[in-house]
Formats: sequence, structure tokens, C-alpha cells
Amino acid sequence: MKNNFIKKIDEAIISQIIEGDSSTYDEILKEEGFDINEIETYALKNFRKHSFLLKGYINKQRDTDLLEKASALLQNAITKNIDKPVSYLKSLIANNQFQVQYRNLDSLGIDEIKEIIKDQNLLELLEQLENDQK
Amino acid sequence: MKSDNRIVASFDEKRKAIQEVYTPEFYADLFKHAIVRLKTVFGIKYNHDKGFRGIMVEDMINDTIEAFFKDGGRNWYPEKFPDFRMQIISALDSVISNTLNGELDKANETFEILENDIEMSFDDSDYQSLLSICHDELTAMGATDYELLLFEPYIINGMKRNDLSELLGISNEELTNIKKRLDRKLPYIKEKLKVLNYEK
Repeated sequence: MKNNFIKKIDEAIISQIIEGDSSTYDEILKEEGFDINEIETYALKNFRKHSFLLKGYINKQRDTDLLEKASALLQNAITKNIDKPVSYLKSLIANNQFQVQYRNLDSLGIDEIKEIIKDQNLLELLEQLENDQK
Repeated sequence: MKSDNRIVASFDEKRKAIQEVYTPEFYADLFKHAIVRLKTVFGIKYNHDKGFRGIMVEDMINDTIEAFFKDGGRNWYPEKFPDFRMQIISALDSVISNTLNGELDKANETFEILENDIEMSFDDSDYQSLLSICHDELTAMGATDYELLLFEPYIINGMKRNDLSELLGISNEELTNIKKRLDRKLPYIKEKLKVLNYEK
């Protein structure tokens, strides 16, 4: 019961922020002797720095995620001998320095597949692979 | 995607959502939320130049956001929190509590109850006791009769502003002003309730 009351109060406080109204916090902070402008200026400076870093961080995580998915799909395609992806992988190997290194597709591990495809357009590749395996 | 039978957002859904909600205004709100929380829950008056014992609010905010994009990191449960910002605030509360409890070795409940709560129904006798405690605290903080009148329907029963305006016979504008005064007292009421030796 007590938690239910606390929950309701929490919801009321948080819903103000979601509605874009921070006046309650501003008043509380002013009463506690804080300078709202100073806080907002400091927060803005940190937001600029962090939003830039976050963008890079998310892109890197996204690429890692795409590489994982595409490599897994390619490995599956090799196992099932699905024509298009296997040909694609062969052409990638034939057209670069991996030619000698990877002669036998069946023996390719997931890390080796990642190494071969890492510089390709992973989003397009993933879409193509998902279509090929339908 | 499902986890523990709850729907969780995919990486891409979180990525799209953060692009929409991560604004300078929201960041400033998170910053204010954290400072207010440090004050009301832990009694710490935060200094943004010095931090608190090496703990910086901006680090806690940044870590919270990044955790949603780490492999095996935080989940977003869109059914529970349709607005991603709610999930972020809940997560930030958790990070603040964990960080400060580690530092102060002080146990506190967190806003996480919103994430983990089990719906509880109101029992009449407990309800009246808690309401009375809230009213007493509000009175002690100098709440007006209108603020006291508004607490139950607005905060506990979640009535809409227009309905309240009609019910109390006051204009929307007047209601907004009363509501704002009441809102400022809520974090303190919440903390009073939390330390209350009332387990029902």
C-alpha cells in the first residue's frame, strides 16, 4: 500500500518532465539555493559533448551488431549451401587478399567470415542475406 | 524480442528512440532530476563543479544512457514504459541509488518500483491512514486547503485536469497554479513515506 502511494507520487513527478515541464524541479532547486541558469548551462555543455560521443558509440555498437548477424547468416548459408550468399562470399575472397588464405568455405569460422565482410555495406548485405534465406 | 515474458525493444528501436528523445532540454531535466534526488533521498547538496566524493551527475547520466546500447546492457520495456524517457529516468534512479548506496552504504528504495512493481490494490483502512499521513505532512509544509483537496484526486487517483477543474469549480489556470505548488512538495512527501515505519 505504501509503495502504491509512492508509485503514484513518482508518476506525478515524472509525468511533468515527460510533458516538458521542469518548473517543479526549478522551484525546488531555487529553494535549495541552486542557480537554475548555471545548472542549465553546465548541463548543455555536457550534453553537447556526450551526444557527440554517444552517436559514435551507438554507430560502433550497431556495426558490431550488424557484423555479428551477417556473419551468422553467411555461416548458416554455407552449411545449407544456399547459392547466392555462397557465391557472394566466394567473390569477396577471390577479389581480395583472402584468396590464398581461405580456399575452403566449409572450414571458415565465424571470426574469419567477419574479417572477410567487415568492410562491406553491412546493412545492405544483411537485408540481402535475409531475403536469400527466406 | 521477449525477455522473462516481457517485450523488450531491439537495439534499433532503442537507437531510433534515443534520437528522438535525447535533447538538450531532456538532458537538463535529467540533471535537475538527479540533483533533486540527491537532495531529497540522500540529503546531499550537490555541487556541479566539485561533484560529490568524486561522483559526478553527468557521469551517472552518461553511463545510464550508454548502458542501453551495451551488449547485454539495460533493456527498454515499451509495454511498461511506452515513452523511452520514462525508462531512462527509472534507470537513472537505479544508477544513482546504486552509486550512492555504495558510497554511503545506505539502503533506499528507488523509482525502480515502477519497473518492478506488482500491481497492488488499495485497502480502505491503509488507504485512509496513508492519506492522512500525507495530508499531515502537506499541512506541516504549509499546503493550502486547495492543495490538500487536490492531493487525493490528482496524485493518488490520477484525475485529469479538466475533470478536476469541473469538480472543484475552479478555473484551469488557477488549478495549474495550485498543482504547481503541490508538485513542489511531492518529492518530500515521497521521502517521508519511504522512511515511515508502515509496512502494509
